[in-house]
Amino acid sequence: MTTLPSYDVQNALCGRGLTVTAGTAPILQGVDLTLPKGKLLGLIGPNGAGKSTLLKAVLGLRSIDQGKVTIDGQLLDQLSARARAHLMAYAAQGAPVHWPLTAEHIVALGRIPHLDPWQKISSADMAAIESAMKETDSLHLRDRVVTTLSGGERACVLLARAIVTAAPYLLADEPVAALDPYHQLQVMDILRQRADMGQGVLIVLHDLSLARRFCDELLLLNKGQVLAYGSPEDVLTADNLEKAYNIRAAEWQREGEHFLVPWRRGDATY
Amino acid sequence: MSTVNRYIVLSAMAVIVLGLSLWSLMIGPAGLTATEVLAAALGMGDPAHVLIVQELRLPRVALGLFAGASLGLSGAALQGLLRNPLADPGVIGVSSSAGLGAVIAIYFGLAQVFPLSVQLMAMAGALVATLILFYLSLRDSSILTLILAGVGISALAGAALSLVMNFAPTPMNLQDMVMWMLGSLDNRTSADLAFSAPFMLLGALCLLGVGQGLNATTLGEETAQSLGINLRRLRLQVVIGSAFAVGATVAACGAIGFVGLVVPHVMRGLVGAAPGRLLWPSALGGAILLTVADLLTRIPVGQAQLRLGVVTAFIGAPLFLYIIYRTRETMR
Repeated sequence: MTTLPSYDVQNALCGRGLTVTAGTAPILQGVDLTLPKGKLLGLIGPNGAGKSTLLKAVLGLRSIDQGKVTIDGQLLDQLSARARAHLMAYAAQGAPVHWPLTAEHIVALGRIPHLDPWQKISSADMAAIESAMKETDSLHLRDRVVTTLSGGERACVLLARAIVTAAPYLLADEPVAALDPYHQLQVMDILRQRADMGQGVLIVLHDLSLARRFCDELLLLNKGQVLAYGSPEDVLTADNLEKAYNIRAAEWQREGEHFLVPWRRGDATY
Repeated sequence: MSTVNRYIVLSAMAVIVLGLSLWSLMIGPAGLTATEVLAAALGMGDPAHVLIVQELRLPRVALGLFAGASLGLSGAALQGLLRNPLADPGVIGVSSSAGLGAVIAIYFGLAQVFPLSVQLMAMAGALVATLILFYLSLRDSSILTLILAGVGISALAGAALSLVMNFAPTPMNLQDMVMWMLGSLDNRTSADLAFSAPFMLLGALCLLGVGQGLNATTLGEETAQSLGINLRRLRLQVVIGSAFAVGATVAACGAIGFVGLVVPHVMRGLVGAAPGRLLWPSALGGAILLTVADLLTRIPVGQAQLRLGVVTAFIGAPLFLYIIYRTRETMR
């Protein structure tokens, strides 16, 4: 396993020794992760490896049995829910929307951390909403009812919802799952751009090519433990893929970028 | 979906509430004109009219407004929290559990010893039912789980009710109790109003404060938490608030169903589906619906008088079935 550059914890979202158990079954065992501002960190691993749990533990949505989370050097436990909301934006898996609201209204919900309970949306909030929707190319959908949008359109609207919070860290659980190839690339481009603009972005991913091409660093989880953590090149080795996913991958490159395709099951006899 | 400006809707509804209240005050064995009613309400004019309006008609009208607003508001808040358009205090068994509490207090003579016990027992019944319901159906916002839990709670409350009848020491009439459960605003006094209104107001105060939290839960509970919403407090506020509002309403006027289902549904078309923005309109809409229903009960139909809960059920139950028809594909 490669050693990572040591980031300044005062300027990063950090998990140290995160351990979560459900009943007696361990879900996470002593996981470390560091998300500095300006980096896109991909969280990969097979189903049930604990990726979503790790994301929720970092967000404070799930209690941890051991370990600690710090944001810019402050302990997560000592921050109020509102302070956390100012620091971390969360895009949930499957982009749930329970009522038929317009896209603009959905995005506006991302401004709640900036509003007092009775406060109305201000013109500054409106400007932030427009800019976020522009960034995800969803401004033309603003008056559409979200429940009538296609999966790709909806993903862009909900991404704008997470962006408009204007938190320094953005955590997204499988933001490209169930999207067509165009929207997968679009969402990855937007997230890459967020990181380049200085936001710390942590995403759960299943697509190894997207992980290889877009992420600065990858954390490969397997059975609740970190199997590999480092640059995509160092993490996505044949050995690691065999161990974590029980697959063999084919790797190519184009325009100087590497990508890989799951090719055979590791136990395939052909 | 185009929606009308919310403040225009609210103002128009407030005017309708006032108009309907005045109309309702004018109706009765002693026919009074609008000016006579207004003068009497202010304590002027014929002393007989003052007595009729202030002691007989005002409590009825005010109780109807409060009860309707409580039911509409509770429906809107419960639907928001459960993310489910079929949540209504009547449908999900909260009203019948409140009714059970009230019946225990009435038929065991607690009410004679301590008049507030009817309200308190009804609120306790509503609270227990809401807690059971939340425990069962909060996790997945599934329509099916909610309705089945409601069926179970209603059946349990019904069974307990007939058990209570078996053991009640005072001689009683099953028909009286059934009629009481169907709801009415007949012969309500200012004492009934004074006992219930404070609890309804407390409940409303709890419920009107959850708008932002409910809006956030549109994105799911975890995302709402990530937006800084204190989920535990939000749930508690809705549970306690609706238990107060529904319990006090049932104690004063019986179990009137479907108001909390119909009103938010209609309001969604007017002011949009954001659950937090539905709270005030649903309160006013509930007041309107119950006042209209009370006006309808005063149309003579055959021998007996029409019951309030019967009128609201005839309006609400078909709509309930219609919503099921519309949402059955998404049911899980």
